[in-house]
Amino acid sequence: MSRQWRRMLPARRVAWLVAVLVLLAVPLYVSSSWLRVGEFVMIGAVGAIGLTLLTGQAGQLSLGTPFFMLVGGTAYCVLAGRSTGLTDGDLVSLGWPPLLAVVAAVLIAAGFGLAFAPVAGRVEGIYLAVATLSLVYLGLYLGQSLSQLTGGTSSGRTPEALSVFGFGLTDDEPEISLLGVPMRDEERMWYLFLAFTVVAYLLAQGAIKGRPGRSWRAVRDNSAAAGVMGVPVARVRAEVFAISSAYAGLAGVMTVHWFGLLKADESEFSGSWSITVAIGFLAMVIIGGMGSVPGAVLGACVVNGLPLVLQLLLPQSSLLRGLLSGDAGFTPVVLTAFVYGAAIILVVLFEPGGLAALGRRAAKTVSSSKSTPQKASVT
Amino acid sequence: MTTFLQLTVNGAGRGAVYALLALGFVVIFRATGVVNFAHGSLVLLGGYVVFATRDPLGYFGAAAAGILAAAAGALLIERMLISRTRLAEPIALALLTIGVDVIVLEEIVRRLGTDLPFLNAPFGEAVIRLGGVAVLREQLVALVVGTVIIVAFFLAFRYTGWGLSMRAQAENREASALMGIRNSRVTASAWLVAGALAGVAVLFLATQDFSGAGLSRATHALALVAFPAAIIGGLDSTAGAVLGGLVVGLTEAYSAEYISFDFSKSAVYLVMLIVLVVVPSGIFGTREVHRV
Amino acid sequence: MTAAPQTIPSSAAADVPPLAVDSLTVRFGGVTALEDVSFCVDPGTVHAVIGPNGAGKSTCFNVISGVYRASSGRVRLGDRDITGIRPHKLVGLGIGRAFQNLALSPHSTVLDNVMLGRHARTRGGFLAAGLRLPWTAREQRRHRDRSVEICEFLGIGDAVDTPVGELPYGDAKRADIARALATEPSVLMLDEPAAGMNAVETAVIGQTIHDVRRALGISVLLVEHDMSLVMGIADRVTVLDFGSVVADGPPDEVRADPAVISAYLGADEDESDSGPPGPHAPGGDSR
Repeated sequence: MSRQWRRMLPARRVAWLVAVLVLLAVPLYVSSSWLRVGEFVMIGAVGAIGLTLLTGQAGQLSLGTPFFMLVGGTAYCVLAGRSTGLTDGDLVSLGWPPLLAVVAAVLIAAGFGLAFAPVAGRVEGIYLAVATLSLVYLGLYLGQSLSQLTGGTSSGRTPEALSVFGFGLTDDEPEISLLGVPMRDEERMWYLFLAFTVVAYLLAQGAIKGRPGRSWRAVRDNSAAAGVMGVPVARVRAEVFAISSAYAGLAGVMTVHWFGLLKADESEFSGSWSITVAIGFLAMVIIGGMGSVPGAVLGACVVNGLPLVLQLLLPQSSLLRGLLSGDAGFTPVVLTAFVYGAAIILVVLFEPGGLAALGRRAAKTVSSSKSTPQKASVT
Repeated sequence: MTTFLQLTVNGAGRGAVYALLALGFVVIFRATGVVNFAHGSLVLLGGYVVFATRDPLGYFGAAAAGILAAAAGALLIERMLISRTRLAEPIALALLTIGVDVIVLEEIVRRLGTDLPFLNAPFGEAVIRLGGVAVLREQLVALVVGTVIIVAFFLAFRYTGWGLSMRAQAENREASALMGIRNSRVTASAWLVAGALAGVAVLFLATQDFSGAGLSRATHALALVAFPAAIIGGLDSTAGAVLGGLVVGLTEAYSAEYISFDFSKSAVYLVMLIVLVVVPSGIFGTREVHRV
Repeated sequence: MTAAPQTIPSSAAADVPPLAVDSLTVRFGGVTALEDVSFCVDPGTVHAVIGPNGAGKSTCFNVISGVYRASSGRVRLGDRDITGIRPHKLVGLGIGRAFQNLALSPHSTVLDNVMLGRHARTRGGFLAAGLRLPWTAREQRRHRDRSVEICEFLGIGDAVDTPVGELPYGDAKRADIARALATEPSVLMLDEPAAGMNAVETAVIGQTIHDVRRALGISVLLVEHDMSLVMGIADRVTVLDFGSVVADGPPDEVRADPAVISAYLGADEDESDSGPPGPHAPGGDSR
């Protein structure tokens, strides 16, 4: 890590430091409704990073992200839940320490991903995409029928607050203030989610640049040749699928904390674990540039961020009010869908590398004026 | 036993409709190598036009309009976007159809608003008794209409010049072009046919007896069944598409009755997964050989 | 352009086993691609497998490297029977392979591609690489240095950071060979190394193969159409025609063999009558 840091150009180092400082300082200056927007974007970022590893680096399309999110969210609630015995009914709760439950939930999601290995390891391209579609339906069915775990479709269940050694990270116990700003649940969740996102980001980048990424790309570009070079193709495909599932699992844990509720969907086309969400994640990855981790984050800003941003700006902007008048049915969600649908089309037609490629081109024009050598991107 | 027969007929009726969807989907894939994620949108487009023209044109007029609209919509997608892409890469084109699907889906759902119209045929619901088995008239009509269309399609596919061009292009695009086949025409006609088939399918999909859901987001999700149906049969096999559709329809019917209604959707995908693991390219699909 | 051949220390040089193909038969449905093919690659020699189009050369290659399955017969590396072993396990046993159609990742750099050859010799998984653990970084560095060394030996040292897609064909071919060498093989298999090259480039590749054999002491098994390359560097030649061995021996012997000449000229076939194909023969698809 420090080696890469030393090798970085001073300009980039400064940019990173500034970005980190800004992200840390955000809760001190920004209202909680905006914090929630950022947190929702981070959920998308974590899921999209996992998906971009699978699609861009390993060349496999998947619609399974919502299923693994459901697995992660449910696992957390079951493991960390504390039965109060009053209104729970027959919800399964194991009362584990919440942080351990998070780690376990991620591992369980990865485990479910590995269980899919007979399919994920041997099936590719469109076949895998449709096979993963089956996971959404599986999630729908299991979510509804295993209501002792998921809380069912009507009432759902509340996730146990995440606290580490008594210090609440998703609620406001005990009360503290930072630089005079009270750190309530929204502020703390920001830092928690930021930590998750940063870890997710760094792990992914490290893997891409190292041995795992190399083997994924080899399998993507020519699996027969990769095998001859010593890469166990089916196992690598299964592994990267499991990794992507783990990321989705973490996104699921974050989701239940953000909503403050875990609830199974009633249909496969609407809800937090639906096909619509699966397509949304795919859109993030395509718009950002398949295989690019920063691109995945940018894609999440568009797909997850835009509807919430529009919703917040609505009361303040008459332009938006006119555009999003309730009668015609143009809601922020609908408008966002138009935006990312069109963005997918534009990306495919004009810049297949997505926003990441645009960013690289912009960086090149900036640095070519300073004539610094540009390394080939790892795609 | 009567239940079983009943289920079989109903399942076959549903299967015929699914077969229409899968067939259109496979036709596009065979002619162009594109996986059309926008198939559900074509279904919705056709359905919406039927809904919108129902009053002025009457049922059959509206049905015809819907079929034409779906076909035209498919052609539009092909002409405007797919043929314009310099990238021949199929996966890029598939992603393109995802983008189109998102836009069309949201737009139509927005226009429908709170209406969730049923596109029922105006003959009233009826239960027909065939030798002791009670069959919903809707399923029977679906079975008959579906069979007629499928047979007509295969006859055309096998015995007409058009069918020959389609098969030639599916086999080897460049060679067919060298033989004088206009790739662009064949591709356009493939999308047209697929759209028309989707337009017919929606007439059954969005009815009370078939899905219990009116024209809505649910119809779009229902149309997704084209995927597992096509995959079970083999993505590049038209006969496989029909078989796949039937398998899906029957699986749905049997599992809804003998296991549970909620499980029936998952059952279809479970069958697909099993087929994929055993025969990775589908029952009638051609195995891919990797040359090194 | 070609660096002076240095000896690169390699663990393979010490004990190179013979590669023996024994009565290999391969049938695809009704077609018999190989019929009772036997030959032996002696340690440290350059062994060429030649023959007209469709003779079964690539099939033979693919069976040895585990990509195809034999219907009958054995492939032995030293004492070990390697028939039917999955491709990714053969690397550990010392079989390295370059491809007819390169099979490189065009958007990745030469170094990235060559490093793939080190996959079986390295260990870092997702977490180790993701957390950038010191031992993974050290391992990567060590293997990167070795890969650069191999690239420099093959004359593409200054192209290591160039995406493969941007390289001229000859350099890309050499990157493919570098990748195969990166697996530290005891038998290097080259599938039509001179395909698509003109006379000058062919001569250079021939020199490279010669240098590799001399510096590393490994065996080289090559499939080739180009007679000038084969005659120039092969120690032993096996000729296939219609899936069977027609001749097997030193190049001069084989060249004069009437069975070989008729295999290339054929009874009624419309080959040109100037003997076995020369350096400008089209390098077509061999079966």
